[in-house]
Amino acid sequence: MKLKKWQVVGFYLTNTLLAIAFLAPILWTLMTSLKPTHQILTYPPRLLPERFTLEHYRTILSVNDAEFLRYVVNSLIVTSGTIFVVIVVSSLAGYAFAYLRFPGINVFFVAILATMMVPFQSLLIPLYGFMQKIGLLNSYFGLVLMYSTFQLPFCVFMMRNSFASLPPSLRESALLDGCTEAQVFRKIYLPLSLPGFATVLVYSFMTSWNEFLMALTFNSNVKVQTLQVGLTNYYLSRYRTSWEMITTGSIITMIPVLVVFFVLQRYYVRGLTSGAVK
Amino acid sequence: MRRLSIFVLVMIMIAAVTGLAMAQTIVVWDREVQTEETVALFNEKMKAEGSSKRAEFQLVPYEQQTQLFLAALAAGNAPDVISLDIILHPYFNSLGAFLDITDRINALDYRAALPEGMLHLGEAEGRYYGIPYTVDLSGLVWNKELFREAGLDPERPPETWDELIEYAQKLTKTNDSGEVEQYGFAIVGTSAGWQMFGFMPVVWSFGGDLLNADGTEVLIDSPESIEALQMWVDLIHKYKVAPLNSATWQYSDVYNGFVTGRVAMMLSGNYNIITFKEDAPHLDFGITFIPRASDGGHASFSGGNLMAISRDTKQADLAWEFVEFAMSEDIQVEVWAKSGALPVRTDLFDNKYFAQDSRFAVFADILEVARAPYSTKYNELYAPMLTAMQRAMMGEITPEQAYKDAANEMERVLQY
Amino acid sequence: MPNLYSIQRFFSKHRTGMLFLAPAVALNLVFFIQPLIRVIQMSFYNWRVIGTNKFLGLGNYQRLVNDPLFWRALSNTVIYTLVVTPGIFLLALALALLLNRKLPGTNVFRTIYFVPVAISFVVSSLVWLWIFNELYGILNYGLSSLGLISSRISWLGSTWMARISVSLMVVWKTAGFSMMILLAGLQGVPVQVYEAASIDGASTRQRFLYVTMPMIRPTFILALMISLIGSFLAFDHFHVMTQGGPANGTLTIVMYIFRTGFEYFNLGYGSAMSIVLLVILIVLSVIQTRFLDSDNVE
Repeated sequence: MKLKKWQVVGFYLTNTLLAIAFLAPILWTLMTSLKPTHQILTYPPRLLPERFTLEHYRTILSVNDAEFLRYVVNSLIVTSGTIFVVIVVSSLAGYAFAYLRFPGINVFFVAILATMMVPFQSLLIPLYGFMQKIGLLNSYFGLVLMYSTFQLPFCVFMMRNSFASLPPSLRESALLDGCTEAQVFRKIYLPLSLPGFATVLVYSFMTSWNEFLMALTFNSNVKVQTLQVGLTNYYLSRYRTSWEMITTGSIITMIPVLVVFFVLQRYYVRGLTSGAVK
Repeated sequence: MRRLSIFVLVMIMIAAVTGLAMAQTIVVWDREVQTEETVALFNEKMKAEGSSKRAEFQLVPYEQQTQLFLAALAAGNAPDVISLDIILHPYFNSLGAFLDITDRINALDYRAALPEGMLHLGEAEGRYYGIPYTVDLSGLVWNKELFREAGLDPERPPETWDELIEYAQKLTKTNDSGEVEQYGFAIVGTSAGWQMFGFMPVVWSFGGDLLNADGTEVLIDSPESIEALQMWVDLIHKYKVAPLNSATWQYSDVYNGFVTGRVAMMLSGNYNIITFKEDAPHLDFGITFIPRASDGGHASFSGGNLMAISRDTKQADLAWEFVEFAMSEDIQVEVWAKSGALPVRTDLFDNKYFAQDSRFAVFADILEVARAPYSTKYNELYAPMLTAMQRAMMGEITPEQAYKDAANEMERVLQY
Repeated sequence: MPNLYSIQRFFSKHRTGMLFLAPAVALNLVFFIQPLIRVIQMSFYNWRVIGTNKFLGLGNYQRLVNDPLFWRALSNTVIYTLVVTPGIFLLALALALLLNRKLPGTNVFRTIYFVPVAISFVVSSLVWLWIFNELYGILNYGLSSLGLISSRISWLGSTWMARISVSLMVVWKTAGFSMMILLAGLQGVPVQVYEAASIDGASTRQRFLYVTMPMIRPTFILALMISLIGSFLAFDHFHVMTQGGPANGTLTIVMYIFRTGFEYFNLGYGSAMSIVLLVILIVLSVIQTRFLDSDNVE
């Protein structure tokens, strides 16, 4: 479909205006993180810092023998572990919900969806006791399993939709040709579900990377603390909102999420360019 | 089979070694970063003494404090030492969460320097289960620069509420279109905790109270308490010296308003001396008693933390060793006073850091009149208090009605 | 009496499906259903953390029925959900449709709309709280400098303003996420279908209603459900921005559960409220999935 010239102009105009609206609060956050502390709370508000400073970034990166790096490594381990488990488990389950249905399977579907319908705080006390009993407190593995469980509803639903949007005839003919179900799944359906995978990956990365309460509760030992928990050590002050640290910390933590999103979004367009399935 | 038995043996050895290491380690929880420093200093000291005893710190943010502590308590995995918001102690003592440390406290040579009011909150049936570790006192801060501009004596803060109203009227400025540009006074209206920390001393100065001494009877609907709230509402609606939307102003709103010079006076606490210096190095401010009713005495709320030892600890002695270290001059002065907080021991108020800033001195006197309500249902009681305050501040109902409603609700809570 | 043979046949017939499902079900049982059962159990007790718990039977549930604040919190939550969901959706759908093309720069715009998603709710609430401040907030300052408003707006000053302002923040914060889901859904629409529809003379509006909408319905419903459940469980942003005020006007159900359990220490009562909330949400989603499945061939 060819766009008319006015459509192209309209496209850029609309997007530019929207982009400004979306970015304004973030730019305000970024500018705050670049101001010296005593210039943050002023009236009238100062849009640009009088002088730009990276002191807050330096503080976060260097405090306590660069423990920040340890938090990053911990977060990376937990995040990548979760992504791996979630992708494997949710694509298998999504495929089952799309094509391998059996009577009563909806009970499992509802049980998985229900995971996101209980405020996590309510589960915290029994879960903590259980994790302690099975020795998974303060371990990467425990956190990975926990994150995976609570990310499953979205990911399973997403993968199910992704598989279901593909024509069922692909599977039927492959089965007739003698493929096993596992082969059909692996060789035909997985490669065709890239947008779904990209979405699941971004979601899982973002959720695990930013999660706070479970990480704080289950990985309290400083050796296995994740970035979000570690950063509270700098924010924390009961009496003063430490704007310089909050804004600096959020700018730092959001960057990896945005990079992942930016890189993976080409999978969203791939469907369009290849003209989808034949 | 052989391989299995070697594996089992190795596991047992690892368990034994870690077990031994564990036997010399206690876990310490707090919401304050200063305690992290304290733990580090404790470990340094132990190392220097050639001891293998260690403490391990976990920072527990204020918002998650009770969740995590309850979870750990239920799992029998409570930290050996916990520093917990003072108002929560009556409840946890009613559960029997902490170890009786009465004798250890009474044996301290600075026992007399511990604030009695705070000790009382860690007391159950005549025994002590917590020791005052940090203290926060509420007071009034005023912007001297704005006092000067308004033609007021910058060194003479209001002594009574009548004076505060008079000053605040001079300090409230309106622009050409009739909008208030600068408020004489600002009120934190959103947080329940602030209604207690900031407003309860107002009620006390009028002779009112929240509860009777043992927390069994509600007194918030007494004429004195209602008079205090009436004065509070008048600041907003009658004298118009505080923001019309005070009910929705958060602490950060009031704080930022003060720092940017748009609010001339606010209720606050000792900790602001240090935060103002950081956020606004040129701000010229003073801090003093919260004003009193013309026929009443000054009052203040003593917040802060008590430190307690878990009932389940296997290392009570090491835990107490840490507590004593945290209470020592090295920590109370060199960590707490240095960071701008108050030392909890009155014998340490006279220290080199406070000598550098005369504004700290008044808190020794404020501590004398400071107190906190004792109730195992404190948090649940202050929820109706907040609703009442907000509805009265918004002008939805009269102060009298507000506190009558609150009292009904509180009585219901006490019955449960 | 169950027929062993038919059970065996059932298992062997659906063995593959069960194997595919097994890992997900295992995680779900161990880390969710198992603690959930404990929560259900707690809801029948005056649960005291340590020491003896007192069995109350349905006491906590009776208390809930007669608790005006519970109903207030529930209705606040429903109102908020009804305000915020259309906001998120209209914007997200518009963004997804706008960006589902191949023009230079599309990638950058997509990432920009996703930026707010990448920061936490707590931080964005703090930042917006600051932006919204009546007296010295940048929003009032900006609007009045531009001459758009003559008097300051009190963005969080009344129940309705607070609801709308918080919703505004949430729309900004989450629209990019729903956009991402919808974009993935739009990929399922083969280009040929559009072309065929165009050749048949369908207008843009017709193409959207009769081609795009039906084909992205599953993802649309997923995005809707995520956003509905998310709004029902709203906690952080209200906790930070309004703390439930003024006068409980924005107290959400999860805030009330949180306070009941961890501030008032009525863990049994809090558990009972969680269970009721869970039941409400399950009923809502079952209705939604039915709606979704009605079109899918079993």
